[in-house]
Amino acid sequence: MLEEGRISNRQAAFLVITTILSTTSIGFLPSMIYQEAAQDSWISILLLTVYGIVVGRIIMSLGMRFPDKTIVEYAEIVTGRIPGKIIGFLYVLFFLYLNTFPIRFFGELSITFFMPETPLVFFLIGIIFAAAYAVRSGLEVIARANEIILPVSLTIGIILAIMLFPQMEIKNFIPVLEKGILPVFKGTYVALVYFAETIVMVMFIPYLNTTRRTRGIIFKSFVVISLCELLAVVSTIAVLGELAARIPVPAIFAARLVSLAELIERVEPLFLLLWVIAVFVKVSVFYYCFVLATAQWLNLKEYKALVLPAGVLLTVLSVVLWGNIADLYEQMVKLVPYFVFVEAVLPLVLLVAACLRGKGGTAGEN
Amino acid sequence: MARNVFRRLLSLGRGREKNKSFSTCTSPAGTVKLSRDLAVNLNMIRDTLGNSMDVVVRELLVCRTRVALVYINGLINETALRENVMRALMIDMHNVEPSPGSGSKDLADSVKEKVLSIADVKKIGDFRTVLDGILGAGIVLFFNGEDTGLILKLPGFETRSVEEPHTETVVRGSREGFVEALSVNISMLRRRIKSPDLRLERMQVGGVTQTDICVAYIKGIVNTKLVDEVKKRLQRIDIDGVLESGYLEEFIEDAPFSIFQTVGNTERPDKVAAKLLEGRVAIFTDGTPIVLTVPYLYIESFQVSEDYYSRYIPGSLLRMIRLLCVIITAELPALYVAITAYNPEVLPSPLLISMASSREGVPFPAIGEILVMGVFFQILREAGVRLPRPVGLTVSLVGALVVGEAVVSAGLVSAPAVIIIALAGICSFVVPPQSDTNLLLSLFFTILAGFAGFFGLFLGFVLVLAHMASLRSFGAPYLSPAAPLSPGDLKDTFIRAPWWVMTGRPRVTGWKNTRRAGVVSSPSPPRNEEKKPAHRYKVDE
Repeated sequence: MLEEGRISNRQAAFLVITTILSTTSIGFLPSMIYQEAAQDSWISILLLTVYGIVVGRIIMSLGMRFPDKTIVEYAEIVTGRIPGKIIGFLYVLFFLYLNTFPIRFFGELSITFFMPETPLVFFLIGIIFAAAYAVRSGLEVIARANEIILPVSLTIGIILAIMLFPQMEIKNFIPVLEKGILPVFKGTYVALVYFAETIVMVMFIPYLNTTRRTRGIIFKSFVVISLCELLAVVSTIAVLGELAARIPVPAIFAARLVSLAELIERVEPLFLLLWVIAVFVKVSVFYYCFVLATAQWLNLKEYKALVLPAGVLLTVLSVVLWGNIADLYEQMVKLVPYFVFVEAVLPLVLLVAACLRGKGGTAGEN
Repeated sequence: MARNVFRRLLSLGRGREKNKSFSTCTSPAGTVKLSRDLAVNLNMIRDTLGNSMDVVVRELLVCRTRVALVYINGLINETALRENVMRALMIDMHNVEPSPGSGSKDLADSVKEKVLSIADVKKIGDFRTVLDGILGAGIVLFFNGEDTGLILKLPGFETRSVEEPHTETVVRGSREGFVEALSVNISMLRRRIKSPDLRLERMQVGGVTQTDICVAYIKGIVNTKLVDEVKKRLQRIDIDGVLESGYLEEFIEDAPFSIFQTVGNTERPDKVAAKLLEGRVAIFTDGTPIVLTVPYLYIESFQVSEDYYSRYIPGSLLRMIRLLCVIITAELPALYVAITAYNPEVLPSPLLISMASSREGVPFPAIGEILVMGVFFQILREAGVRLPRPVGLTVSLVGALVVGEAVVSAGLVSAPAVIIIALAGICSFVVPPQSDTNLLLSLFFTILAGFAGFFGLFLGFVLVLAHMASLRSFGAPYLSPAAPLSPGDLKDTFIRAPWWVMTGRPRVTGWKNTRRAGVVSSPSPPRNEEKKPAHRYKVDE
């Protein structure tokens, strides 16, 4: 096997939670949802949670049929050699491409809010270097680092929300469903990609140290994700109101408004900390998935040699793919159908095909 | 990759004599048997040990047989030698019947059984054991006409008496610290753990020094694989001398290139006993009071034996203070640099103004201030540690004046920088096992913060975290029980739960035998009417 390490169910759930939360709650996503759904964003979040759980169940059902293989390996078993290779390649590309969004966004955000005169590539190299170190050290290391990072991030997030409490106004939420249900669906649509990032589980399932109760982690993670998401979105809307749609990262803007006892003011560094550690995990997870998927797709014996080239590739792609942050947003919305195809439709097709052709076992059913 | 380059650089000098072992005994090999002729034996001794001034060879006549005693002056107990050996051989021997029944028995046997009033006496037949015996504080008896000798263990060299440990003092708890003599140290451990399951396995390392080491563990609690691994790593050591447990530490640790230590050390017997009860393995080394314990987790550096002896609420509070101090040491200087150089706006305005005014006229950037003052602080510390007491006082006085007053009033360094370095310095002493590590971390973070402000600092934080997550100590993940998370073991991390709550051993080391206390043993006053305590006041009508 390419990966020697084994992670527990809890570690896997933690990874899924951090991966999804890092872009959805504190990243660019809230503002995209606001633009469509305005004060009803929280309804979109609820819908997205349902979507996330459904897709998560599909992915897990598929993965658990082949508890010792990743999707790159079992795609060939399910569909035959050539189509399997094509599907595997799709996932390789997907893990690479999806990762460039948070990386680039991270760089743009750091420039805008913290160090305006620093070149973009500096931030990209920084975060990719850190992620490369973690990826080289293996899945176990990412999982363990995340076990410290997730509680710390959640604590910081909750502290930020509490500190914003004086500024919150409940009237920002009314009227409910002002323009009907359609904007809510639109808001849901733009975020579909990120709530189905459970797709990383297709690369992790063979490296779990148990197959018992593995399916349960989807529901548990989504409870946490949904609560945090609601906390982030609700507190941002309550503080900012309509302004939330017009700024790229509302949460950071909200953080600037914190003022407690004239002692705790301007807590953006706290936000930057949250942002760095959470994005680090997300980038590492996708980076790892990409490197591992590539190694398996090419039938390599080791994935570590790929870490450095992959890092260079990621850096270059993150720089050249988009001209600016508006471009990034536009692309993100435009690409939703493709991503949804890879994340939700393709696993469903594979699952149905595997069921029909009787491939794979049903181990760990419970 | 960098690691490989480093390894290769390190190994440049050694290629040639790769297979040469450091067992440099130039003397006859171990298989040489003793001769029946006394003179031959004594000649062999003289040949091997040379003409060393401390080797004493005393020949005497016992029951018409020539007998020779060989020992090293200063290693053995002279009084016991006089009273229990010489006296016995020269005077009491004549009262002993020449054992008519067992004629086949030779003189060595009857001396051993009837004459010597010494507990540790062994018969020996080969030359290697003789040498080991003489050098290991023993007296060797040769009998003319017999090819076996006797070895009498009578160690009597000077040792330091048991004192309070200097590095780990406590207010409440045992005042005993380990000393240099292995046997004394082991006896201190035995006194604390009176279990037949306490195992003490002796080994020898060091080709020339032949240092005794002892692997201690409690059978039934420890994971046997761990013991095997420890012994395997110790056996692999091939070096001429081991003068301190630090030698062993560097040979057996998991992460030789990391700044984090993965082998614990202590000079407190009670601490070693506690570690053994948690399923760890201790390694005693002769000649040093420092005992190693493995596996060693990051959290152990926050655990002080007094936490467990004093009440748990203040104990828990102190744990958190220590954690805070580690954060201050490692990150406060870097935060200062990041704030002053990149994001001053994060400070509340009044504080910002007062800081800016005190930095007015300072010729260096913030990172320069911090680095210069940090180095200065370390120089003062080092000077204070190595110097004799009276001179040390001068150093600290001059240092305090120069650092505290002159530098600031001359406008070379701002007052906040001095405060921050002083605070970080003081905090680095709160968690002694980590003080050096934290200094390095502090330097690393400061430089990163100087380059890239908060971003650099947080990136450094993530890198260090990833590095720590990748470490293992004898199979135990370094950050456990936080990562991998085992919720039950968090009872002894940031807080110290009361003893009646910590009913299990830490899972990472003690999973073989998890139960350590009764499940419901929390203290409670008797509630039943029948069990009303006798001393309760009775109100008379």
